[in-house]
This record gives sequence, C-alpha cells and structure tokens, in this order.
Amino acid sequence: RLRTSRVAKRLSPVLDGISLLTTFGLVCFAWIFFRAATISDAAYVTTHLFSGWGDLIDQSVTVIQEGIRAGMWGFTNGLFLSLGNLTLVARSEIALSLAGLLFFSYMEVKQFQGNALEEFNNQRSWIRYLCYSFLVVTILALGTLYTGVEQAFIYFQF
Amino acid sequence: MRNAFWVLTLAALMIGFVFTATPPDAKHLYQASLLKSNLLRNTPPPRIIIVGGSNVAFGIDSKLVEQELGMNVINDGLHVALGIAPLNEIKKFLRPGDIVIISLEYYNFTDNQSFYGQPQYLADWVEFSPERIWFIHESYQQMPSIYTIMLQRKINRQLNYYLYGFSYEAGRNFYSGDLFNKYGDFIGHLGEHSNRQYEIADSVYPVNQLDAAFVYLEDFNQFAQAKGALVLYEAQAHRQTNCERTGERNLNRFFNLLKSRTTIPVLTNLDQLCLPDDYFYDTPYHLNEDGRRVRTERLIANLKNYLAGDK
Repeated sequence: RLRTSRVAKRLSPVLDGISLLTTFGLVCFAWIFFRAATISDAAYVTTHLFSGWGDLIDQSVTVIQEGIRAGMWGFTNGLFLSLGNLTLVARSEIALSLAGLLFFSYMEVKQFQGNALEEFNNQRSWIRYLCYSFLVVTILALGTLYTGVEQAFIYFQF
Repeated sequence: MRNAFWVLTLAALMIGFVFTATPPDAKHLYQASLLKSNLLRNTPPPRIIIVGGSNVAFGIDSKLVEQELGMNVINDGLHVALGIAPLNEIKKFLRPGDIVIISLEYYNFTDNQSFYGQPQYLADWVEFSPERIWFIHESYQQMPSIYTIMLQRKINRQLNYYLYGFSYEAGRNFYSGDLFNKYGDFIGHLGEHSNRQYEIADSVYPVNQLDAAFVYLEDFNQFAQAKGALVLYEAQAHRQTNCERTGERNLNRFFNLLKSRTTIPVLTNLDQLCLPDDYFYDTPYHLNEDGRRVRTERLIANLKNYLAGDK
C-alpha cells in the first residue's frame, strides 16, 4: 500500500535501491552465522560490526590523500592499500571481483528494463560467438574444477 | 554442431593469444630451473647432483664440495612443492659415474600431491620449459589441470603486473630467480643479506610415511644403478628447536623406515640431524651462511667416508 502513494511512485527508484541494499545487508548478516566456526564467534562478529571503523577510515583517508598527490596511479594504489587492511586477497582478485559485480549489476539493470536475453539473441552471430567464446575462456580462467583448489561452498558449513 | 565448432575455435584462439602474449616472469624463482636443466645437460662427468627442495638450494655450498671432492657439482634443489618432478628430469640426463644425492623434505612424504608435486607449482615449472610436462607423474591425466592452472596464473600475473604499477615484484621478497650462482646454489640470503632477522616458527616437522614415496625412490635407485649412477640420501637441514618439538623418536622412525624400504644408503648419521637454531635463516629448512658451511662440510665428510668404504 506504501508503494501506491504519489510520493512513493515518484521515489520508486530510490525505494528500489533501499530494498536492494536492505536485502543485501540482511543476507550478509545471515552469512555471518553460516561462516562462523562457533556461535560465540558469530556473536562476537555481530556485536562488533561497527568497531574499528574509525581507525580504518583514518588510515585509508591518509593513504589515499598521499596517493592522490602522485596522480591517478597513486590514487588507485592508495585504494588498494586501504582495502589491504580489510583483506589479504591479491589485487587481481579484488579487481576481478569488482568487474564481476559490475557486470552482474549491469545485467540486472538491463533485465529490469527489458528482456536482455532476447536482445542478446538478436545480435549478429559473430558478436554472440565472441561472447560465448569469452565465456568459455572466463570459466577456464576463473574456475576451480581443474585446479584442485577447494572452494568452500557457503551452504556446506554443516 | 557448427556453432560449437566456432565457439571452441574462437576460445582456443583467445587462449593461444594469452599463452603467447604473456611470457613467464623473468625473475620468478623457477627461472633458476633453466640454469639447473642446462647444468644437467652440459656438465661433463664426473658429477655430483644434489636434488631436493629449497633446503638444498639454500643449504649447499657446491663450490666447496667441488674443491674437496674433485667432481663437478650441480645443485638441483629448488622448491619443495615441485616434489619429485626434478628427479624425473634428472633421469633423462643421468650418466655413468654420476652421484645423485637426494635430500627431500618431510612435507614431501605427507600425501601423493606433496610427493609428486603441487599442480599450481608444477604449472609454473612447466611454463619455463614445456617439455617438462612429460616429467610430471601421470602426465596425460595431469595435462588438463596443469594447462588450465597455467592459463589462470598467466592472467592473474598479468593483472597484478598492471595493478602493482607495472611490476612483477609484489610478494617476491628475496626469492628471485636471478640470485643463483653458476652451480645452482641460491645465494640471495648470503653476504649483505645475511644480517636480516626473521622470526622462525617453532613448528613440528611433518614427519609422515607415504608408501608410494618409498616405492618411487627405490625405483629411481634401480634405474640409476642400471645407468651406472649411484644414489645416496642426505637428511634435510633440521633446526634444533623444531627437532625437539618433533621428537627424536619420530625423526629416527622416518630414517629407519627409509633404510628398510629402500636400498638407498643414508649419508647422515642420525645424531647429526639437528643443527643449532642460529644456523637458520628464515624458515626451519633454510640455512644461513654459517649453517650452509657446516652442513656442506658434514656432507663432504660423510660422502668421503662412504666412497672410501665403498671402495
């Protein structure tokens, strides 16, 4: 009923964004309990969700400000150094993850606006073949089937 | 069917482009494996070939061995994660009169993958010399895995090259392929670098027994003998504190098992296994300058005694 009001209709994109972020936040919160080794660990994480951010933000701002003085590359380097405080993952993984997120977000928006798959199928054959080939190479390059590297599937915690 | 053909052809072309456009990292630690292969191919007999993981690369002064024994020495030690793949390479270049001294690390006896080599490291090793694919255990079965991993690591390396400011140096530390001498000894931790202080873990050595490992070692021994070569086993460098945590009983059990399951003579006396903590550089396997000298002198003495007794 909230969405039928005039204000809500005008703010529909904003409300959609809030819904999206809320769902995302709730799912991330739930994943704490999937990934924690014990209930105590999960309780610690949930009660310290907003701890330490002040120091992290201060350090990140300092690093990025110093980086900006060195130009675009310095700024990028500063961003990665800041992210390094949160994760030990290599920069290539961060970049690929971001690229993946951007791609899927783009596809979500395209699908929301119309039938993205039908639009793709109407493209010229050589474009589609290139995309399929790129998909095959991406699966090989980013997959783990042949690498023997175990990836913990999030639901297999039990 | 025709669609699948074009898709797979285009995919193969893309992969081919990645493989040709991304050469190996010239300063990768495994760059030194090319030096070692050349030494195996071109060094004239009589030769002593010392093979194992980084405990051999860090811990042997080949020039000293050469001076004392009057034989050409090849240090074929590189990285524990390659397992016995370098031994398979040595088989191709074995000559009558060669003395092969094997010094594997306990980690290699943990499971099959630790013994035959970890795929991601074997992929890097093969990248430097494609023919090495045939030196890998069960080559045909491993090929899809090795080349897929190679593709992944090439893309990953190139991405990091751009993201770390057009440099391959990130994470390399001093483990560089251009820090080996002409014998194949790693020397990046010697001289001016020997003063660096590292905190070394007081961990337990992963002493295990892997039946397949002893079977392989004995097969290698028989193969070498058929070629007129001699195979000996030398214990890896042991750090005193790690020895104590592991326990003398466990260490002795491993070597007694090695002696009972193979006919390979063990050069190291069991009471010589553990060296003072001060002789180690950055891990419980890597000797510093002093430790390298002591271990080499011990190896020379044991080898001289063995050869004298053998005659």
